[in-house]
Amino acid sequence: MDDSLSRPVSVAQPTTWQRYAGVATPLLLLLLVTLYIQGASSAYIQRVWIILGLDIILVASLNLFNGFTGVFSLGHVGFMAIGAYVSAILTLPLEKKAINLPDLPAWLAHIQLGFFPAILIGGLAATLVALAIGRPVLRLSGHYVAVATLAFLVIVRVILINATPYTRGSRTFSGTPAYTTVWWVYGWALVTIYVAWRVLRSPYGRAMLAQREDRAAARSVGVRVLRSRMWAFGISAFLTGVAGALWGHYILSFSPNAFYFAETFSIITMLVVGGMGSISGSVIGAILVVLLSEVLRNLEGGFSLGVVQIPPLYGMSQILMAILFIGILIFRREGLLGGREIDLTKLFVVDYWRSVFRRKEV
Amino acid sequence: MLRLENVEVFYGNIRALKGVSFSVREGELVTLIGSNGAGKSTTLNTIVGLLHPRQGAILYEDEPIHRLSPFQMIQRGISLCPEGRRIFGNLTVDDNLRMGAIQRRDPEGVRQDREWVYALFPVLAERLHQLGGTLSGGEQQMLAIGRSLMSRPRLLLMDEPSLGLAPVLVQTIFQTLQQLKAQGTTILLVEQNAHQALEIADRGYILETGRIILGDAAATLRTNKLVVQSYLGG
Amino acid sequence: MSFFEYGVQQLINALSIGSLYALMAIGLAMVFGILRLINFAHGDLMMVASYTALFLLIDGFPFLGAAIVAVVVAAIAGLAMERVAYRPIRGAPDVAMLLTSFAVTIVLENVAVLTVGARSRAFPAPPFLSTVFTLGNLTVSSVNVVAIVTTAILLVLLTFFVRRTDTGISMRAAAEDLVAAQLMGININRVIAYAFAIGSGLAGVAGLLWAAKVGKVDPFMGFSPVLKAFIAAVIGGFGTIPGAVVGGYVLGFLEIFLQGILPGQSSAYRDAFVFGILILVLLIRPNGILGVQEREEI
Ligand SMILES: Nc1ncnc2c1ncn2[C@@H]1O[C@H](COP(=O)(O)OP(=O)(O)OP(=O)(O)O)[C@@H](O)[C@H]1O
Ligand SMILES: [Mg+2]
Repeated sequence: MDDSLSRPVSVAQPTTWQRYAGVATPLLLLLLVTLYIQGASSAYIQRVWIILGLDIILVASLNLFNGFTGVFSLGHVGFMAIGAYVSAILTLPLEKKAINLPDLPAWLAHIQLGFFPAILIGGLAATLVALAIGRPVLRLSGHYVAVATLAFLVIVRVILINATPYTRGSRTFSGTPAYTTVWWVYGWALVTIYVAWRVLRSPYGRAMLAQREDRAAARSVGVRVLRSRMWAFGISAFLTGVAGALWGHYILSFSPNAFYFAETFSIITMLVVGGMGSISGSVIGAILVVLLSEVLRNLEGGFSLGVVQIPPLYGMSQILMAILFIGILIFRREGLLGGREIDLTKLFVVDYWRSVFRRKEV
Repeated sequence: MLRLENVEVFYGNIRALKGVSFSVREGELVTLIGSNGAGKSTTLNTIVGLLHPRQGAILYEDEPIHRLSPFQMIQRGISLCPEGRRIFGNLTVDDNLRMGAIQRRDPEGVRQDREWVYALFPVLAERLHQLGGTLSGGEQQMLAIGRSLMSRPRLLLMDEPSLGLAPVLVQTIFQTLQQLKAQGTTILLVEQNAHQALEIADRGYILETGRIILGDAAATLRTNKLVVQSYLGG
Repeated sequence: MSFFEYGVQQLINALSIGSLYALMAIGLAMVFGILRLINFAHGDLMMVASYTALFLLIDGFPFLGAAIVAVVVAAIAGLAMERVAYRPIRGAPDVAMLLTSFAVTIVLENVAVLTVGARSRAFPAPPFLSTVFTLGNLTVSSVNVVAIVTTAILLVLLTFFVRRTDTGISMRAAAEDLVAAQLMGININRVIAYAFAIGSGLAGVAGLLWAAKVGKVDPFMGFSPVLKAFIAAVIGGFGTIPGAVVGGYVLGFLEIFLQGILPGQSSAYRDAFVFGILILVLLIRPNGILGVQEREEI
């Protein structure tokens, strides 16, 4: 990654078209890659591409909350679960409902919604829960928020396992209609990135970012801070719920185990790798972690290194990811981007290139 | 005994000490004077190894000590009585003193020193089993001083021991310092109360925004125009 | 069964589960008190100890010998954890340390899966840990009694240690003010090592008792107990040993109480209530029911 892209360079203010170009380039690139993958790649690559998009939504929305408030949520996977189950229940075809969820209350047993409204309701349900728990929880300071949100995650899991009429308990929930396409995923990913950008890069967002390390301020959570934390929590929960819904309509069969510690850790790894507070960091973190864990997962089955035969070591990929994660926390705690953004606008400013080349001449 | 050579200390990117050099000879009482934020506490904390200089060296009996940890300083006979007392509020008075002697391996000597501290500050003797946190401010200060003596230091560093104390108590503490000096302890005293510090000190240094700007015999400093104007209030 | 007998029965249940939570919470609290690290991987030490004991028992070791070795291995594992993962990140923001401990958990559990397999195994508890005896109408399993007694003994020893020995007092001093402790000449690396070793040893004991109680071990067996211990520590006011002990027993009683009063179906939601109470405690008494003030940092 080119670090100079994120370094402030004294160049002329970008003009409007340059700014558009800075935004349009990655979009165009995304479109082309997606089209190519859709058309020419294996089902496996297509799958990884979709998972990546989902992870981008999850990481960026967690980052929206975390970067904005400076407190850490370990409970976001709970919102993901809410989105997935709500949307799946709402869209389940009636005849499958009668078989899979025979004990559903009448009003739920007789509705079957379309994909888009179901996603929205899934997201809103997550928001609603977020606002309910946020009122008490976000009043806390520092890592107590992490602790309380972790408790929330456990509670969600207990409820999922026990609310058998709705979730089939710890058994697999299946029959979810396969609605999620790569276009839905990346559409929502763009929405998430845009929203996160608006929130984090707003003047108020920057101010929040600046004071998040300030212990005194963080300790006495004022009314104003509480309200803005609530906003960030609600929005973030919505997007996470949406990601959960999309995930559910892609994976199709899932159980409460999917929404627990492992998933939480995977999202947090992406966040930490990319750097808290940086949206481009979230995207890069997701890309790196997804790619790396795919590579590692493929190696887990065993491979041969010339004469040496490496036996299958299932679980090795997780171990290596966790070690990588610890390494990043120790050696580059602020993540790869350290809270900054990659600004592609610069690529379209002539002076920027001049300054890049001039620097090389020196 | 102690020599700082061109010591630079940073807090992140802030340069708090900008090349500080001075020395303390065996048996001396030297005072370091400066206004708020001058870097006095930073200097003391660096000497005892809580902070480490980015540049320069600290020599104690000709041995460089600026990379050692605080507990190694105690082993060498350096003890700091920190700014703001920092006694252990959840420990009894007696246990606080016990902590002061944690590195010592001579129970008999420790017992004697404890008696000596209690003789020095009789109020503490009355509150042996009281929790440190329940002492009054002045009593806590005495406990802090007593605690820093328990390691039987040869070089005692004191960071504003008179802060926030009633004049009578300040007298007591300054008398104690003189007494310690008479017994052969070398003392580096940081004080805002320049008057009294220069009164009992042999020599003094003036620290201003991370630099030593003046150093001389205490008697000379007392009459120095700049010192009189800026630090002696007139 | 009379009301009185029912009460005694439940009292034993509450005390025994509370004992295990207390044993676990102590280690969490000791480490948190000094480092402000919430050591999530603390639960995995239970797993380390029980597997060590399991293999030794299979090899024909007598139980007591196997137990002692297992506890020592847990202590060493705790020390290694501190040295490798936590020391380099000492002083980092709280959340960074918490996340590191998450990662340590992932490493340990996956290493366990790789080496001993993910499936659970029966734990061959000796008769004195696996008998159920009846006293009148009471049915009492011996492991509960052993848990209560063992914990009581360990608590007495621990109390003596932290109140009377130099190292113990140093530990409390370091928990209160790390800088002042250093100034006294307390070697904090040593104190921290002690905290990890003792806490991990206690977690090892808890692990063995747990394994005997549920009759099996698996690589993830520490997950639920550490969450509970964590609640116990928060209830007691994170960072103090007496708080952790009180919190452990309070949680034990709370669980048994909830089990008793929640009607049939909803008792499955017990854990949800328990974790709800955690949030409640954080809100009403962020410093725990013993109410120690959060200390200022340097
Ligand atoms: N932990 C810290 N982080 C950042 N800056 C610090 C820190 N501690 C001290 N400083 C800064 O270093 C400078 C010197 O501080 P120091 O505490 O040494 O002053 P001082 O001379 O002891 O002042 P006072 O008389 O008020 O105690 C000050 O500008 C202070 O703001
Ligand atoms: Mg000072």
